[in-house]
Amino acid sequence: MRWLVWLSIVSGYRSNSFRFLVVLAVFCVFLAWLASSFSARSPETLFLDVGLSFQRMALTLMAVFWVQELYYKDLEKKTAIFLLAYPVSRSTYLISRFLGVLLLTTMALIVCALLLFIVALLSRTGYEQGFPVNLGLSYIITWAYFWLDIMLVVAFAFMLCSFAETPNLPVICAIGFAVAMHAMGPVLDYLSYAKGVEDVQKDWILPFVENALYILPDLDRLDIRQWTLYGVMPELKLMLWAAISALAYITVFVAASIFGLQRREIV
Amino acid sequence: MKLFSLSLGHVIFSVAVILAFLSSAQLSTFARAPVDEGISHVMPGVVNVFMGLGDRYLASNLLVIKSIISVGEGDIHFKDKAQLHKQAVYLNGYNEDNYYQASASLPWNGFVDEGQVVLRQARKVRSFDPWPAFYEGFSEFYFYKNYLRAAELSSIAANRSEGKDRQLFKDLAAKWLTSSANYKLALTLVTELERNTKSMATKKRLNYRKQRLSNLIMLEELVSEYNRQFASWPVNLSSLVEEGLLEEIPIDPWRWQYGLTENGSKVGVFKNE
Repeated sequence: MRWLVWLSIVSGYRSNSFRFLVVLAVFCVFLAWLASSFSARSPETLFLDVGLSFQRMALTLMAVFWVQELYYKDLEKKTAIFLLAYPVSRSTYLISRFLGVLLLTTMALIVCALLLFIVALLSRTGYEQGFPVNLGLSYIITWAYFWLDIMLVVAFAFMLCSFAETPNLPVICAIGFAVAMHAMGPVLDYLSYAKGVEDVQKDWILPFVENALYILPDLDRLDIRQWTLYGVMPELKLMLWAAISALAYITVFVAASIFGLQRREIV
Repeated sequence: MKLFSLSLGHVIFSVAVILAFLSSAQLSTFARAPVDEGISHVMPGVVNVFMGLGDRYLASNLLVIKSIISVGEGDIHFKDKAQLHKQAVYLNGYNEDNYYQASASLPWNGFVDEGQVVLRQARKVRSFDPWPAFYEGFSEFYFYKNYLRAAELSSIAANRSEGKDRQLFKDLAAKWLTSSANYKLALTLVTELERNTKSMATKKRLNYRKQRLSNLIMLEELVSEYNRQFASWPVNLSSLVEEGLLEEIPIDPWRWQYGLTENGSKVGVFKNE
């Protein structure tokens, strides 16, 4: 299994994706830096805020493309047959591929987090913010939760690949899934608390989102950046349940992927 | 038959081309409906969440940036601006730029209620920050003349601060309980807003507001002087020039007109028709 994981990492690295990732990460930081110039009072906060948003999106995209490269193309081009012939069981093969993407994503995430951290420190100007950002433990934990978020999307993409027959469908659906699962929480909050929202929106969308969140993962809960940006630590219980929920969904999706692969016609 | 149908097709095509050109030429002679300046429309909050790719922080930042870069005057412009700030505060109540920009623009342009909604929400969420409570208190004092509520809010701001700021908010709470609205206090707030920003565009705008308030303070002092000298209120601001109290009526930074209100005892600023 170890050699299969290693093979996944090498294949992921050889696909020029790391070079692409570095360019993307630098571009994201540049965009965040541009955005920070709009801030009248807290440029450092805005820089980190926008930087975190863009980096997470870029990493999600990268991770989903890795799933496509390392897993779906293996099935599509039938190269998976050679690997399975070693022999390894289908579940071992899938878990190895998942661990490969997991390690690649972890490495990419560390690169992005470090880059953002360094630029945040370097871009400190003479202007002293009233409420400075916290780049200590809270920053690390924020990224750890982002990692859970991305891995959940990766697990979902694996599940789609196991069942999908159409090229690019897993990538498109996984990205749509990431956007929709992030949006559920803000939409629910906005419709519940904002004043002046049209009744039509409340009547139609609110019950749907409320019910959907009982069965779908709430990725918004994995975004705890208010801790690093504003020094407001989320409730410990909430953080714990958010992590448990994410790990549970990851397990469910990976298990479903194995189930799908075992029943799939590869030859 | 084939030739006939082909030539009919040609005829229809040629007529259609001529009609298209003719109708375009005719349409260009009709006047178009005037378009309002500024942002013409603000998407519903739910749509804006998806515009931020589901990320509430990014959606909120995009809304605030949109409000900052939008330029224009008039009710429609500020109504849209108010909508942007309100949506942003419900998506991320922690956003400091949002409440700051809202307090620096909305109440001063007639959207006091909307400004208060933003500040109230920011005050609730940012329980560590004295400024939303202070700005909200100022609006209660200056725009609503609700002095008791203003003093309460200034006390909340005092409880959230330390040192010099704490004393300042406490003093203001006491002052607001016992005084009435005046331009001098407004000038204090605007000076404070200007001190707290690094954005040159915001500084420039607040500087204009300081100039306007300074002019209003100066004109009110001269009106009082007129009343002391002639035992009556001036008919208009030109009376001050005619009596030699003022060389010329100052020019407003936004080119509005200064004028008298409340039987000539107060000075206000009015938009040119």
